[in-house]
Amino acid sequence: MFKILKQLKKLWWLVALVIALVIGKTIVDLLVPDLTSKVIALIPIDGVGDKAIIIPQMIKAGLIALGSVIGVLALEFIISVVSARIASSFEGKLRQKLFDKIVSLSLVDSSNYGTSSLITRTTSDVQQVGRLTAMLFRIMLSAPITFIGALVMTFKVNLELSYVLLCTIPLLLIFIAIIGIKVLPLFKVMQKQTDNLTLVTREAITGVRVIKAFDNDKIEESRFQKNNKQITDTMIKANTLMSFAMPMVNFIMSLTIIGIIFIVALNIKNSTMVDPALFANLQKVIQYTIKVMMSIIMMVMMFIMIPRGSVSANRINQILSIEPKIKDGDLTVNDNSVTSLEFNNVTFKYEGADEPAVSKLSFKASSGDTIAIIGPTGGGKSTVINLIERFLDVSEGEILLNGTNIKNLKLDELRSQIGYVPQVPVIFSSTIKDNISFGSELSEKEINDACDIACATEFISKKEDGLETILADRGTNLSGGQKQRVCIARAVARKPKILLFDDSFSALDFATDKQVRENLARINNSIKIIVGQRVNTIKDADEIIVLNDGKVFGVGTHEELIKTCEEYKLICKSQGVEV
Amino acid sequence: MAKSNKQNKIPSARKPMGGHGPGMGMHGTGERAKNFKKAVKDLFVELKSVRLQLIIAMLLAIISAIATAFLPKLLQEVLGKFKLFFFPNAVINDVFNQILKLLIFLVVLYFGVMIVRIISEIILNKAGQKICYNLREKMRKKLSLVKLKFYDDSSSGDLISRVITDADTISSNLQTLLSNTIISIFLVVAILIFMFTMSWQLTLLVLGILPISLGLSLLVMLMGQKHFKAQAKGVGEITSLCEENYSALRVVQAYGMQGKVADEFNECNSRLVKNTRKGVIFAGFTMPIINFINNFSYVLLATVGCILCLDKIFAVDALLIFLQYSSNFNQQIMQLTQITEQVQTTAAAFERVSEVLNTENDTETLEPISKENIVGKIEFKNVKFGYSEDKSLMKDVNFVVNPGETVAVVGKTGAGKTTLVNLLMRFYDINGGSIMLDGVDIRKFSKSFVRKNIGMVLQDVWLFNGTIAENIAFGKPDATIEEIEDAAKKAECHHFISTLPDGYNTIIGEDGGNISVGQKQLLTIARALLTNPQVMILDEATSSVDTKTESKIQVAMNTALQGRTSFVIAHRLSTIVNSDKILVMENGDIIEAGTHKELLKKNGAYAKLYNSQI
Ligand SMILES: Nc1ncnc2c1ncn2[C@@H]1O[C@H](COP(=O)(O)OP(=O)(O)O)[C@@H](O)[C@H]1O
Ligand SMILES: Nc1ncnc2c1ncn2[C@@H]1O[C@H](COP(=O)(O)OP(=O)(O)O)[C@@H](O)[C@H]1O
Ligand SMILES: [Mg+2]
Ligand SMILES: [Mg+2]
Repeated sequence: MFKILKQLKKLWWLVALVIALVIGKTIVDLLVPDLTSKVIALIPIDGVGDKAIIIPQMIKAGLIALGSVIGVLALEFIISVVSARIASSFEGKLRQKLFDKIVSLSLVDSSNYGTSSLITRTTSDVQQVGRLTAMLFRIMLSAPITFIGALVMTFKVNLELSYVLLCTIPLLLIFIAIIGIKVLPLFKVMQKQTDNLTLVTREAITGVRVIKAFDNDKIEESRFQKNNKQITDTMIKANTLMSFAMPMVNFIMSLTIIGIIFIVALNIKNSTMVDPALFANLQKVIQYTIKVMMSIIMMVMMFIMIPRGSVSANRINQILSIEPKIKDGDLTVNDNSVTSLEFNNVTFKYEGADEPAVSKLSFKASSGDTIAIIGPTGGGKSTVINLIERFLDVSEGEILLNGTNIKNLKLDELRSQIGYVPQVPVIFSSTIKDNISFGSELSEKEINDACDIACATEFISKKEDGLETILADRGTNLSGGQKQRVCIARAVARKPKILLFDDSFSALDFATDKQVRENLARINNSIKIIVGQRVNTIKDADEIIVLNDGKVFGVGTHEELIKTCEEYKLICKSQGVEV
Repeated sequence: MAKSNKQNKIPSARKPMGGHGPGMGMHGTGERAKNFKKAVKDLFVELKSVRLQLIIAMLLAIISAIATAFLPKLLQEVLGKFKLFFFPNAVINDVFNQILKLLIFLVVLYFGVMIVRIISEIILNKAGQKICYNLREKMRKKLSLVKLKFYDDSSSGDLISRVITDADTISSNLQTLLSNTIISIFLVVAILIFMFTMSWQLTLLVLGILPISLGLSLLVMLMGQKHFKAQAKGVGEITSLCEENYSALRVVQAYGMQGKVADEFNECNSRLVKNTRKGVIFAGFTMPIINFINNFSYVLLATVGCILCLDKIFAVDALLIFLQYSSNFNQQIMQLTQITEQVQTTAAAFERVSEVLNTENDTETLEPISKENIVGKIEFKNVKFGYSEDKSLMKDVNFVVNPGETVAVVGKTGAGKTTLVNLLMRFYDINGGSIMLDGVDIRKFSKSFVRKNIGMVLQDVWLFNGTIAENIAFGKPDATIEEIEDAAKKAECHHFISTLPDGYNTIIGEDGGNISVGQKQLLTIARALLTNPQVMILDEATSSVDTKTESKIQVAMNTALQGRTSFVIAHRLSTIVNSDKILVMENGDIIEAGTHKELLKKNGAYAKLYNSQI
């Protein structure tokens, strides 16, 4: 929790201001009961007196009291503005920081936590921490001051009466401590259950077609229901415990007041002397007692809130403190001269896997070359692509760009050299144009050219709004092949030096596939790495790598491979390609 | 990379939804007022479900309010007894005992009030949570009932935030709202009655000041309203940005877009921060203002009361008690005005929830025909369809598939192949003509009947966060391990599953991150095979699978689907050539139909497509 508060550093002067204001306000606030009781004290206890003397006195005392209230009012205004600023900027900064961190998290790390949990952390957890900080400024600061101040005042008014407080306060603390201890673990469970509920909700949305196709609505609804029930039960448990707090504290407060009256009565019984200011004093003591009790409630509430917030704070810190698995290098890439990409005995093993997903892969590609990778499902093709992008880092061997190990290169510079088309098309809910230009400043012509290369021009022009057509979340309003072509256009639009196609023609019909390939062949100053299933798609490549179970079964041109590589021959045969 | 101004843009681009009632985040101002009214009405409907709890809580509140209101009266009596001490002939011990008795009675009374309050808090807490639970259930059920079009038009992150955050906001606010309001209202009434019995003049004075407090808090509430709304919407936007970018992490990083998306997030975030801050500030203003007014009225009362005392209209100790009542009264008013913040956040959140709940349902057959078995004859008759009403995709689609036939659907991407099977599955409603299953219009069957009898492998792979076995058994949760393994063997994924350290119990990560895309596709094939339907649709089911594995699957499939009708959408020839019928699609319509040989002879579109492969 406190680690996260470090983020407040930049706001320190506001924090300092608010602390000063709160102290000031609390002190003035403490004076108010004293001042108003002065008004009351002027009322003659026997009801006899001179109006002309008493009333002006009362008005004067009243004005003084009101003056102090106005002071409180002004201070409260300022405090509320400043503390709202601190709390909301803090919350905003934290959210931004978390988002920044998450979007640069390595794939391994992000999948460890899961998208849903990352979403909950950025939204719900940050909100919890934000709420806590807001409370912190409004209550935490003023409660202890009020507590001490009010206590001192009570003692000053009447020492004896104050002893009652010394008996009831510990009682109060014990009650609240019990509740606090019981309720804490529930908060932890609650955030985890929020993750789960988010997960099933998200799956219900992303998987809607499959769920419907299998007529599984009822089952999925009951999965949701189970999670919903769990979190509801936890909430009920936690809140039930909390329900005891306020009424109990109220009771103890009343008990204190009764105790005070009792002692006064006892006093009178045992002595003959009667204090004339009895009523006024009693009034004052009671008012201060209420203040003392209230401030205790506030402090105790804080102590319950802090752990709740710290559950969330820990979840946020967990993400913020992830050491990047993929370390940034410090060498720059010379923009205009990416001439070679080389795999040197590269082996890669996924964490927890028995066998490497890629082993001892070597090849070299120069500018203008096309390297194709073919092989059975799960052979390690996508893994190779991920290694070039440095989504993963090699376990052994090295990958060299222009002779430099890519681990030593600046990550963003390396990636800016690459145009990547993922195996599963990724579409953002935005216009087609935004999906293609994707943040780079591209001219109309560059976008159109890219669409031409990707054979996307035709279907885009058929859409009512053309390039301005808004695509749905995940591109659900496009056909599979259309999504792929948008992704291809995105990759070629920025004219990268290296193009990676991870099985990105799989949803294209053969004619379109062929057309796209021919267009791509005209880009002759890039290194192209194409993962494919269709022999026709890849057979013109300068080099074909046959990967099976991570092992290299053959490297060479189509003509060489049909002679030397048994595996390749089988692939060709299964597609009716003559060998 | 949701456009930050997306919310403004979508309405125009996604017009068609407008015809079906309010889509998400797209209302005119007139509609908005109507929505708000509807939301309030809905909220009361929701409250009905916890009627009993509310009534009990209300009774308890009355009890504790009366008891609480009585307390100053009792105190007055105690203080009155104190006077007896000063009587010259007072028996001190007697007086003391009387006081003691009263005090003990007070302790008992306070204890009773505590118990009653605890019980009513617990009841209201359960009621609040129940409402949250119900709202979430209703929204989830709604998500099953809406048209698929709804999903095309709304952002998943925003929907998630409505189900999770907004429902939570409602319940947590509702609970405090209900408990504070009920108690405060009854206390206010009870105290007022007591005050009236003591002095109507002073009570009128108190009431005279009341409108100032209420008016001011109403004003603050009105000024704050738009910020609370904007805040709830902002959380939705933030959630959808997170959802979209976190699930597209690899592309964001590959294109070095971290900075750009962070900027976009920043824009949304700053807006949210600003609105949150304004809301908080407005809400923070009420309390000090009311506090001031309370103190003002207290001093005023004391002064006026003193005059009355001096004029012998009123007794001094009664005045002190009255003052206590009035400060109690003011405190309750303060409580009541403080709930404005809660009212506003609840209203804003509830409006978003009820937007979901009021989305129009998908059409469902009213009195569906049911059949034991189907044979699997399928017929499309003059089918017309378009994703938007003003733009038709299919103009006139006709074909017949006899039971047991294998039909290949071919055509360029975007020709409408997936659409064709979407219509058969009743994912979308056709605009004209009819689709018959066993000679009966599929609209006469329930959707669930159609989907139970037609199995499907969708073009887009979807797996959920669960074990491999659970994912395969998705369509048949009671399947045995043997059945699951058998299906996996047919789909050629048994081998790879058994090499995984946890085998069938391997957990598929969220979004299926830990196996290859082709392997995922194999799992979805196994999933469909396990349900063993009479009609099977394979929509490019093996597009990411290598051809060797594909041909093995085909062999297994041929035996598994013996005598069953199947639709196969594929680009690879080997899959197509041997089918009983080939439908060639272009621009949404079927332009050629026949066997491989017939179509080659025709030398039309199919021949061209076929030749492009060799
Ligand atoms: N994130 C991951 N964690 C563990 N194993 C993985 C992960 N991604 C892929 N694998 C495994 O590594 C192997 C190679 O996968 P991949 O490179 O995606 O194959 P493909 O050749 O089909 O693209 C597969 O057996 C797959 O199950
Ligand atoms: N949900 C949708 N909303 C609007 N248009 C869609 C939707 N789904 C597909 N389309 C459009 O309908 C046409 C046919 O798509 P589809 O049937 O998926 O083609 P395919 O033959 O490749 O499967 C395409 O132009 C596509 O852009
Ligand atoms: Mg792959
Ligand atoms: Mg399709």
